[in-house]
Amino acid sequence: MTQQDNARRRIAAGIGRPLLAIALALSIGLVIIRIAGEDPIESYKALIGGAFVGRSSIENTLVRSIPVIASGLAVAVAFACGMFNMGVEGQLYLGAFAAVWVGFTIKGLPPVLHVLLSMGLAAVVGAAWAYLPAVARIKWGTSEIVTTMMLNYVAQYFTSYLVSFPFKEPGDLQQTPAIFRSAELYELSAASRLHVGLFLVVVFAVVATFLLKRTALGYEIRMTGLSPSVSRCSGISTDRTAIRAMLISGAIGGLAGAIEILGVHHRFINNFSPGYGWDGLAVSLLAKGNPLGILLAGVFYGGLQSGANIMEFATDVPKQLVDSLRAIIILFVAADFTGLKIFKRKPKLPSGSAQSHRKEVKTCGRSV
Amino acid sequence: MAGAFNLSLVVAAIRLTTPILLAALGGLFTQQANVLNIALEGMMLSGAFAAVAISYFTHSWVLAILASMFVGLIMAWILGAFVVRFKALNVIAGMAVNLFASGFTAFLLRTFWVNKSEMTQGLVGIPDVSIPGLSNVPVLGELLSGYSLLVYVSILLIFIAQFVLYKTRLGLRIRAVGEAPQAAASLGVNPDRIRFISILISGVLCGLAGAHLSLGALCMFTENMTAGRGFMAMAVIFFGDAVPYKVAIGAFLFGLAEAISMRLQSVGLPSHFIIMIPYVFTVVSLIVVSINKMKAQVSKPSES
Repeated sequence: MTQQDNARRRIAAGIGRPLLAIALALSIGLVIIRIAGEDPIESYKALIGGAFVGRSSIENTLVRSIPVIASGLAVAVAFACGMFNMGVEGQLYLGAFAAVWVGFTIKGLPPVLHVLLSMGLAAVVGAAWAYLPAVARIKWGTSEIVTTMMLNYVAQYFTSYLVSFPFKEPGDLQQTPAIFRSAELYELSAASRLHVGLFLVVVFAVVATFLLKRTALGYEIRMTGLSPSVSRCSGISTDRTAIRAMLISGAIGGLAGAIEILGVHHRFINNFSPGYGWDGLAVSLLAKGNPLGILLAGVFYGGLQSGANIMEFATDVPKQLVDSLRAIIILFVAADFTGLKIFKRKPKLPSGSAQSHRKEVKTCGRSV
Repeated sequence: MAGAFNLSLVVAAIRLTTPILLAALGGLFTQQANVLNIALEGMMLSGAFAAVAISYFTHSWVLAILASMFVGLIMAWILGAFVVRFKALNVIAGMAVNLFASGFTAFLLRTFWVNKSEMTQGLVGIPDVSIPGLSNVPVLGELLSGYSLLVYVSILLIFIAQFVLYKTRLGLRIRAVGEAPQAAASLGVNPDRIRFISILISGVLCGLAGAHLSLGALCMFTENMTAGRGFMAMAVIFFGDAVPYKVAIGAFLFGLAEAISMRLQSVGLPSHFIIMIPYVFTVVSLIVVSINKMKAQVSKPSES
């Protein structure tokens, strides 16, 4: 098999599989809508129309996809190194708060500088929040999956405290004062609140691709993710690399929150995220961690979300149907059906293989 | 201020402990088999919905409880199929189960019951149990009697879980697979099968936890009513190192923190730090546990 063949096959699998999963999920949805006594064709028309047809639909979709894409990139960088950053949601909250804090306390800065400062602090805070789980994992082998997940709640309650007490704007709502105009991201469309964050996440995706594929650090990250022991033998400091990957991941997580809040809300609102960090995880999985694929998958996700609102409005199908379909897509993309009898081409994987790679990461730091 | 911390606080804490405890008792089986199960939340939510739906149609709380366990089992079966059979990463598959449960229960709720009051009217809840002879004793009566049935079941289940894990063949196998799957396999135990079974057990108990939430503590179903209790249960499992009685203590701490924070909220004080404590404690104890494990490994002669 030539190398080109290989590459072509990989790309085909990378696109084909998610598409197959999406098709499968949509057909299951068809049956569900039918059983619920609604018209599936009408519902899907509304769903797709509401997501991708017409200017306002597309703009709504893009607005919804911006934080998801950024979160997806955060997950992807850590995952390239074999680390699970389940804490994007928390990093996003803290980053958003940090950005807003800079936005409403510092006065009289020129616009671009103010935004940069806000986002800079958000990135630092996000990275700092990812630092403890990273170090705990590398030094003592504490599962970063669990610690990052638990710290999400700490972050969420902490920002909730900040916005309910010390930084609460007078009034009934749990929100901070609005940020100064100079800290707002430039608005591209007043109706949908589409903002330049869209271009920022595209830039992030390109930078992430460049970082992972074209830089020494990116090479080390990918090598550590593929095989820590080999990387170690070839002189890569896997510990340092893994911590750096988590720091970058956390920084992007913080930026995701900053972009959403500086672009759309212009103030910190209690519990503003409907789970962008988790959506990011799903999107990253759908795209197999490929940054450019995350752009596509993120837009698809945003489309499902904004299309679902239209569908609920136009027909009587509740928008939560889409959440169920998203879950089905995730399940089918994550599964490996090669063990099934109809697909018996590859030899069956030995049991426990799903964990074996992770175990290697955990133990290699000490086995040498 | 001191008046807020009285007997009724403990009673409230016990009430809030039960759903977390039930889910955690289920999840500790998967934890012992070394399967990270983040789907507790979703299985619990499905159980809660099933209980309410069956109670609405049959007016029987017994059938409702059975249905909640059955639906929990089905969700666990799906999770097990994808994790064990199709080698999906358990974190991802678990997340998908959570998402599915949250989406699909809300979908069903909105499709079949247009308004919520219509649904709550036909519901038969799980009865409270007053212990004869105890319910009239001043302090003990209030402390021990009058809870919903599943509160007592959950306490009983602590001992059953302890027994199953440490005194039965299945428990031994689950622990063996968790500790050394290859060694277990070499003795003729199929690790995948044991992992699957442990996931199923967690599903049944999470379903039960859901039933308590929707028909025991309250008598209604609302969207995402588990509100992160499945993740609290996960924290509790790590806190208690997946040992049933330690897990029970952890669950009570979470329940107590929740009860205290509800009190504080009702008088307008910040409750955020109280409710945060269990999570922080979990992270800290996780780190301490892994440091201790590392020290133990270093001091032992190398096995390989």
